[in-house]
Amino acid sequence: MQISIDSRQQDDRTVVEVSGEVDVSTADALDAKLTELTDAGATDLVVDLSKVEFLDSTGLGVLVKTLKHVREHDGSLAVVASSERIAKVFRITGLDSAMPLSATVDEALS
Amino acid sequence: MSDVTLSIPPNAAQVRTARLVAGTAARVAGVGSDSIDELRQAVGEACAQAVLAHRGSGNDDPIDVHMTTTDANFTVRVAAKVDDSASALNSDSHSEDNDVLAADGDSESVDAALAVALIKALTDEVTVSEEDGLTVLTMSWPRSVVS
Repeated sequence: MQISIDSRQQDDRTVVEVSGEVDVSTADALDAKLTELTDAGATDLVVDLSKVEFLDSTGLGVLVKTLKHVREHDGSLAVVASSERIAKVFRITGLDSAMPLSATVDEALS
Repeated sequence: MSDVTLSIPPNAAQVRTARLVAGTAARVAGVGSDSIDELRQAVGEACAQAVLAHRGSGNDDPIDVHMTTTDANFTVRVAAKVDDSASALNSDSHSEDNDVLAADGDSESVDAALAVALIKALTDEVTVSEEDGLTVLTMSWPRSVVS
């Protein structure tokens, strides 16, 4: 299973659209992309997981690392999780209180 | 009752194999469809932590995943050689403190804390034991269809 990651500027935020399964075999690719973006100065991020079919703790760990990094630069990280399956892993781990969850990118940007 | 045994190399890409096999075996065993996604997630978490533990210590030994169907339950046992006390497969890591944002640990300990939280929440019953030098994580789910 491959992972696909694209990014774009929308309003004053960087939207990172992820597709596929984010697990121990693909989390490094997500980490590399988010690190590349934050190193380039993008510290207000919306990570769109609406096309992600599976997300495990290693993927969550990448988001935690990125959140800590953007907070050091007064930035933000919001997550789009339209499916209950993905939203649930945020709720179980309590990360929904640190990363606001939205059902759509427009909602995350508003 | 039927057992299914899977042995995967400590290769991250094979964790998906374990998830898919466990999900299919659970469905055949009569685990309720509402629990299949949770089971796949928990087995994936356990196998990912096992792969990371083997990879981190340069251990090429395979990771054994044993699935057992009893009258009441479907049980998955993941056995791995675990040296790291922070691993999700180690009983010492199963504390109630999972505040990964406040923690100052490395990324692997953050992943392990998140994996523990998910395994505990998604599993009907979970135990950690030591057997023959291996750490064994045993997870159970009730069967909704009893044959």
